[in-house]
Amino acid sequence: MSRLNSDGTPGSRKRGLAHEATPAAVILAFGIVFLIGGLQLPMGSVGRMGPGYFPVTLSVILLAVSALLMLRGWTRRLSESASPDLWAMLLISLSTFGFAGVYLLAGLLPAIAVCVGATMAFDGRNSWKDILFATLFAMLLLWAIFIFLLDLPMPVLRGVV
Amino acid sequence: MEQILSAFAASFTPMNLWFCFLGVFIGTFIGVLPGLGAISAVAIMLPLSFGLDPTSAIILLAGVYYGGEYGGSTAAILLNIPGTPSSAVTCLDGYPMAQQGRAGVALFATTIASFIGGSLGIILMMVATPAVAKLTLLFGPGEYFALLVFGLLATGAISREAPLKGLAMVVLGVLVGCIGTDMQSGEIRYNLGVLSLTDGFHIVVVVLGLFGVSEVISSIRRTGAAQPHLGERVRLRTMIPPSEERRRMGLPILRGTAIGSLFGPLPGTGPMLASYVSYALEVRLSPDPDKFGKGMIEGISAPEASNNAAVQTSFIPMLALGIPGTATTAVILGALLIHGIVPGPMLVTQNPELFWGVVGSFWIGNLFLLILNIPFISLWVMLLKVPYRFMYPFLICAICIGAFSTSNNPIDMIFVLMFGIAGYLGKCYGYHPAPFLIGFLLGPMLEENFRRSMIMYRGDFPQLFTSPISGSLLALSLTVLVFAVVSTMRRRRKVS
Repeated sequence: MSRLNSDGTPGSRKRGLAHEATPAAVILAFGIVFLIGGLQLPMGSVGRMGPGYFPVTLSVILLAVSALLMLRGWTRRLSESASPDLWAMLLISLSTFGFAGVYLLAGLLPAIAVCVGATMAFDGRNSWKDILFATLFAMLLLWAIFIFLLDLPMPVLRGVV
Repeated sequence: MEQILSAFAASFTPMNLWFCFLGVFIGTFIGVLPGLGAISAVAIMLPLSFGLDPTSAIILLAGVYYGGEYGGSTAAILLNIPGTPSSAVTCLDGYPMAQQGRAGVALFATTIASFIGGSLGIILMMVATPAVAKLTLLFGPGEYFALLVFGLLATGAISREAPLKGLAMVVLGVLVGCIGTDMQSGEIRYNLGVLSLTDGFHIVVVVLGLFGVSEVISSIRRTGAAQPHLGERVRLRTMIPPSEERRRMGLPILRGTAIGSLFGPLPGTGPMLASYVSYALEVRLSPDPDKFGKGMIEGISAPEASNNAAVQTSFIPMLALGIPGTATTAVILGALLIHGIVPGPMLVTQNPELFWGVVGSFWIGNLFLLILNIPFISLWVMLLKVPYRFMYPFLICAICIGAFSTSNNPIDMIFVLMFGIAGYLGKCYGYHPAPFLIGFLLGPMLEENFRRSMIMYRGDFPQLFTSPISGSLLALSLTVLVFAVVSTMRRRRKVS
């Protein structure tokens, strides 16, 4: 029998599983990892707890809560489920790694240039003039804030400044 | 009194005045950007506060916090997109006013209501914080453990649509807080062989990831519709409401302040709930409830006063008990911990220059908001015209610089990204990162007090329930949890 949602649309068990049970399963997995790790530590007693006592107790609570969440996800029917923006995650990951790599090799200013320039270029919504202007502006602004005003001990150009 | 005055004067040093101005300005700047709230602003600024002395650091971050809350309302009024969750209510009447060509009046009402609400909230904070701190001097480790349990459960369970998810995030946060060296035995826990995890995750890494990177990922696709009223020039002359509207603002501001002052110190409620409740109260009390949502000045002034009063009073539990009521105060708590200051009952007596200096800076910050925001409104309007696709690469750079400035260790960048993606995915599925952060921050204190109380009680666990203070607090925690679960179940049943 199909149940209806509040807006009158039919709910789907598959979407309920994807939206509710899967994230709960991930939390459950974290609970298991913390439990196994905690059990390998000295437990001690209630009166004199070892380093494993507290995390093991919490892991058990986490397992119980995530099991309840999974159970609820199993029975829920949803008309829509979240769809994470994979492209946005990839873009931000690449720009972060780009910044880190260039910063370690060449210093802050090239890292800002690569991060802003490459991110805007990959974004696909900007003209090359916008990219050029924004990159130069970012280099100037971020240098002024972080190096000139806040005096952070970061190499502006490795091997030069 | 003399000590208080001299400490109060600490906030008036040119350096602290500069940091207060900078905090308010940057906070408003980031708060104006739709989607990026006060918490993101504080997260981005956190690493930059390390080089400052503790008083200046908290003055800067607190300025960012209330500046961010104020800035959120500007985006709500002009774009119908709340800059912060608590300014969502301001959209209801602020945006219709902007559409009617009265954006200036709405912004003026917001500024005045925020100033009055914030100022009265500060007075309450000045009186209540030392009193609460004095009361908690009676607390031993058992009582403190129970208080922390209450704070964590309330944060996880209240004001969320799914208390179980909030609870799971709190527990996970406490567990992640266990990573690193155990303070009592020196044993390293859960570091997975990664050397830089010997001291656990750095607070900056967690905050930048959960509230910086994840917010940027969430907002990346935003384009923003063209808003014709953004082209209008907002002049001071056009901002002052007519006398009839000025008269109507008074009582809602006072009622909003009272509600904000009540909700602000309660863990888990904070400015968002306060602004919703005050709006609902105004609708109920109004002789013309049908006019709400169409540009009523009461619909702006009450929630704004409430929001700002709640922001100021949310510092009471953080400074007096060391328990943050909101995610933003949790980040500020983290900043204090980094500076080696443990907020709690001893803060007011042992660090009066910090406490009263911060209170003094709140007054100045509130004045800055009033003085700066009226002439700067044109600047914020201009900022709202800049497409977000130009903004987010700057924010990512600022986050990366913040992460590197912490330890100059590239692995921190990976952790920031990891927390960012986890925070983003969590939000997609209804797991909010705020309870996680509060669990992460309070976890070590919770464990320490639990272990110390069990040593004191010689392992007699039920003694926690029989002691009057800890017993009452634990009973209250249980009530909060049961209430949250039952009310959610009822709501679901009603919907289906």
